[in-house]
Amino acid sequence: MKKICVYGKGGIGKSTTVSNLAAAMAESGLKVAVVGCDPKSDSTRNLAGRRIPTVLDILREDSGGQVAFLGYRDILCIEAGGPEPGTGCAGRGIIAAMQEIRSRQLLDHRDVVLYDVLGDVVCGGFSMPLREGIADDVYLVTTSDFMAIYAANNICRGIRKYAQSGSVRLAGIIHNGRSSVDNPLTVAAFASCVGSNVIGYIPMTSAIGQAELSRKTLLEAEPEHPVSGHFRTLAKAILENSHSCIPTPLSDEEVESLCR
Amino acid sequence: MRTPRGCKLFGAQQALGGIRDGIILFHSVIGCNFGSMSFHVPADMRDIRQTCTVINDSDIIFSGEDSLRKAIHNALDLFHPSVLFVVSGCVSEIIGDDIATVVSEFSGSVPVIYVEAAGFRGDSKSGYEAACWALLPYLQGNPVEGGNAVNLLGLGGDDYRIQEDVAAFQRLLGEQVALHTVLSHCSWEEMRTAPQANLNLVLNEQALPLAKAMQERFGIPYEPISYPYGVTGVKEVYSALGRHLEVEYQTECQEIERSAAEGASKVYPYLQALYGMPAAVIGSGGRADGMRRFLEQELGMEVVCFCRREELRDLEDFFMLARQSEAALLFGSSFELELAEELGIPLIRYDYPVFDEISLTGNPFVGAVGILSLLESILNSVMQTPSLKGALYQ
Repeated sequence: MKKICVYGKGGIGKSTTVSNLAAAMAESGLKVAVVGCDPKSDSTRNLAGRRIPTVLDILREDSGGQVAFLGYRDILCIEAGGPEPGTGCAGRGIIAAMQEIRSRQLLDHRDVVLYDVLGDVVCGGFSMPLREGIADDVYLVTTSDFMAIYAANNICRGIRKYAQSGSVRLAGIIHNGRSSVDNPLTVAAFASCVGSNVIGYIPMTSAIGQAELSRKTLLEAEPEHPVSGHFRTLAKAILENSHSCIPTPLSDEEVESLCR
Repeated sequence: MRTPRGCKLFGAQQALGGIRDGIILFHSVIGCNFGSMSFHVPADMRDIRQTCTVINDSDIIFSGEDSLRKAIHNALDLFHPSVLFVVSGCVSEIIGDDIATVVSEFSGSVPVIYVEAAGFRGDSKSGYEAACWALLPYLQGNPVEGGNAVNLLGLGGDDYRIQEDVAAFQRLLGEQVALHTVLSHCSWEEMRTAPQANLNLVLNEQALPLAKAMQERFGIPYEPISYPYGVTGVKEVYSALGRHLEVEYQTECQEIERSAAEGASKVYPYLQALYGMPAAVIGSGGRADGMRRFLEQELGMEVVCFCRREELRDLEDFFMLARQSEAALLFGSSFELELAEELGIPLIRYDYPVFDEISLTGNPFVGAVGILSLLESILNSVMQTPSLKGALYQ
């Protein structure tokens, strides 16, 4: 089983990337699962076609109810869930949800599991997917904007911490080309500096937003769209990727200098 | 590292637990409730006026505010208290429950008062202070003109022998001065009307901020004093009263000296044996100072190792000092039992917390009877310790 975790700055396109990657991998015949680890619980919306009950909702009700749902091309969709904004501890929620998923053995017999995690490793809870062998490979989604690279570099610090004591590694950088001024060289330079590679590129297109309005991935809504092809290429690259590393994060000044 | 005192939550519990018709609701995990309860239950097992929201995993993830709301309703319905104190613990503060807003929803006839007391935010002294600040807005009235009433501030509701000591203190005041409010051994009404007193006697520096605030707000003077162990302790109280009130206690002072001397005369040779005996003393602020003064000035003992808990970061530091000293007696709390056993010397329990000894006889450690009670404890401890017994027959 390939266990992949996708991190990146909030709003950078992680859920879009994960759901389209999952669709592409499922198209190639793999048994795929997507686990949303964001309290917003919208990682699987475009795969399931609706918002599904979350693991934490079920735990809270103590109902023992269903938490895993089959979506597009039988992709197993799970949402960890979380508290209302501004209350409780979402990080603790991720830990509890991961334990429940594990104890129910929901991910057994899947070829690929994709974890879609909140924007930053803000606390121990959100680093849970990096620990205890939950994920092996981490991919960072970033644009060439300074703040996106800054966040990616910060996440590298979290990966490094857990990589030194566990098996998790940085496997690549996914370049999202949707920034107003897109500069692939900046992303490539960042990847190189932290010891990694740019594994793929997703160009900007309004078609993604249109597909998501109808609760679909681009691959489902417009399978022939050129960007759908980019997702398929990215999925293939990830599945075939054997390069991973313990990242060497930059200092804040180095990130600034890189982005100037 | 081992803590020489409890965390912030324990301090808040000490300040509020002695308000007899009040209830404490801990918004925390079960351990906070049982841990703090274990410190005062040996004093009176019937007195369980504290409860807990028992925060669980779901509360942590989704917020414990609903559980708190429900627990406040339950506590008010079950206990019918005059006041309900909501004391937060570590978990509810870490997850950032909006406790103030939940508490503000209860605006009925029974005050519901929030005290932030996360253990990681401070020690028991800061918890006691936080509780005092929470009480301050509820205090009302002004000193009665020409009155002779005092408040005692700084005691803990679960201090060892507090009931006996407060009663003894009241006897010391006699008919000249009324004891108005004892923080913390009073009713909510007595607490609320504390500003009607004419003087605040502060027995522990943890109540100093409250005393200062009461001086500013209500014009009540305050006097920090040591815990009134022995005749010298009583004299200090009388001096403080004399400075602020038109009272005079010369006759009472002489009577206490006479009464203590007469009681102790039965074992006079034993008292001589205590002269020069090395002792180690650890205690909270005024208690430690008061005990040291009694031992040195009245019994002639030599305090070779001395620590105020507030000034100690690690109890082990005191243990090291005691090990290096030649202390033959140790004065402290149940926290120091391990050290006493290690050194093979008796432990005289006088400081908070005492959870491994009970007092049913009603004997105080304050006043004339208190002097004899203390002497009794010291001498019995020496006589029951084989290594020290010989000292009394020399």
